[in-house]
Amino acid sequence: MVEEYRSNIQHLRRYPKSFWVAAGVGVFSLFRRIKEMFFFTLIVLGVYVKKRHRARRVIVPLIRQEISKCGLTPLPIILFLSAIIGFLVVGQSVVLLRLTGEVTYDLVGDILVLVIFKEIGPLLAALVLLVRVGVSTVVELAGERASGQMEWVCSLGIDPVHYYVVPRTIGMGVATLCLTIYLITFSLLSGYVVVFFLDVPWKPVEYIDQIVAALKWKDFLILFLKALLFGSLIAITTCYESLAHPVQSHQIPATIIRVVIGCLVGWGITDVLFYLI
Amino acid sequence: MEPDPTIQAKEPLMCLKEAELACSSRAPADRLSSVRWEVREGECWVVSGLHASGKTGLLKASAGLLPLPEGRLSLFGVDYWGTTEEKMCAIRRKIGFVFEDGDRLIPRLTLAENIALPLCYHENKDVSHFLEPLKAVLEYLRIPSLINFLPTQLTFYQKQLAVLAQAILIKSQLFFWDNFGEGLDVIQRFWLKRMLKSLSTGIESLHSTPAVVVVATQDLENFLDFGTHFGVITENDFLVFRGAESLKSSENPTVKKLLGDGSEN
Repeated sequence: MVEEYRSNIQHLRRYPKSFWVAAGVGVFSLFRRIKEMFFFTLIVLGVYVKKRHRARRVIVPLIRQEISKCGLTPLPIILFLSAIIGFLVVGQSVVLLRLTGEVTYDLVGDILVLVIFKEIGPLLAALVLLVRVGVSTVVELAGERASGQMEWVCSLGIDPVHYYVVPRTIGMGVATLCLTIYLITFSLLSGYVVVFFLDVPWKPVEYIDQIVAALKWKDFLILFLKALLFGSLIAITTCYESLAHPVQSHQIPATIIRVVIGCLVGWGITDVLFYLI
Repeated sequence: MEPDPTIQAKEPLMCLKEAELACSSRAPADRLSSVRWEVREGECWVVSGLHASGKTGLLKASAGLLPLPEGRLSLFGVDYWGTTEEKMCAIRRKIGFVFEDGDRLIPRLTLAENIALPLCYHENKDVSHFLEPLKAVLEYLRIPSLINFLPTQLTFYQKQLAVLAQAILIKSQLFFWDNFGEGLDVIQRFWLKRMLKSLSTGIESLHSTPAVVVVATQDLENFLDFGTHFGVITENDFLVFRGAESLKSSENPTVKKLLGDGSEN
């Protein structure tokens, strides 16, 4: 029954009879995927909680490796993007405020915090991590699954979720947080360079005071949680797509697309939830 | 060859009861049904069958790597699929398995890390803790210089030796080898067979206890001197023979074909 349903869905996805059928199949598939991802996340959480003290000498080095890989590999591109973002956001804000006749530029700090600190920082860091590391992780894990390494690991009595998924989830979460901090710091620095060149009468201390005045303790908490969740979501999605189902080499491009879409949808939902809370 | 009554009386290490298995992943409709198979301490098994007859499935199901659609698997006296995860894990640690293609080592880990992985994981220790016994095992298998090599730098034969080294190191009590000899030359096959034999009798210099070895191969003729017990997968049946003599005297056409007297060929 389930198999029949799945093959029907597969068939309709490839050869939809009409736009509405295609849309319906898409919506059903999306909900099914969200449901499966939710249960996979629960499994990962359960394994982490249950086995957090087990095999630390194996798992902790894996987490460290993952943090270093995910935190260092995308660093150059993060620095480049942060310079651009700071330049654009501060530059555009100053120009806009000048157009409106504003002479004190007091809103620049608020705009910086709202745009870079709350929204763009974690999202861009996670996006870069997804492109730079997440995609290669899909290829790596799908390859390991296809060539039977996971079966070998299971045959040794090692929990594959504990060995493969937990270190990646923690590592990518922490790495995203670190990358977000780098991104925000360098954006604010490059923002000051723009302030300097646009002849805004601010000393560095005044610029920092503007930003500090716009920040609340809640913003730090939201930034911390958002970055951690966004990063962990990349790990969960990549691991789910490459490990939960057998993936053959010709299916890897489609899997990568699913991972990217899954992450974007996940981040969107998380962002909306944060906004609502 | 009559089985030793003292051994027969012991609890079997592995017991398949009324099991149903798919013969081949390509033709799931072909099934082995009502398989009864008991493996006891002190035995050495050779499982054979024609190509795609279900040797891999049978071995994987017996090692608890493949859930049974029907029937019951008991490993070390425990109902494997009915027990807790902790007990399953404890049982898994006593079982070694060499997969059909043999090439399953984790590519980013060195040979030493790959071999010691289950010990490091289950005993929560660094690989350096197991370096001395590991070196001794690799010395015994004549590959001590490969200790820091990555799997991509190893030949297929060396990878198979690595899995054998792991079985010796973790002191596997039940050791399965699927499709033995595939992709190896005659000398390598001879050497591995000798190593397997010593694994089944125990290696004194490494303080390794005797393990029950189960080998699946299509080359039954060359394993007549190896096994104490033989299992042959025929059309839809699993036949068990005690000793090479009873196997040779069998009139079953599949057995005959495997032994090379195939008048049907």
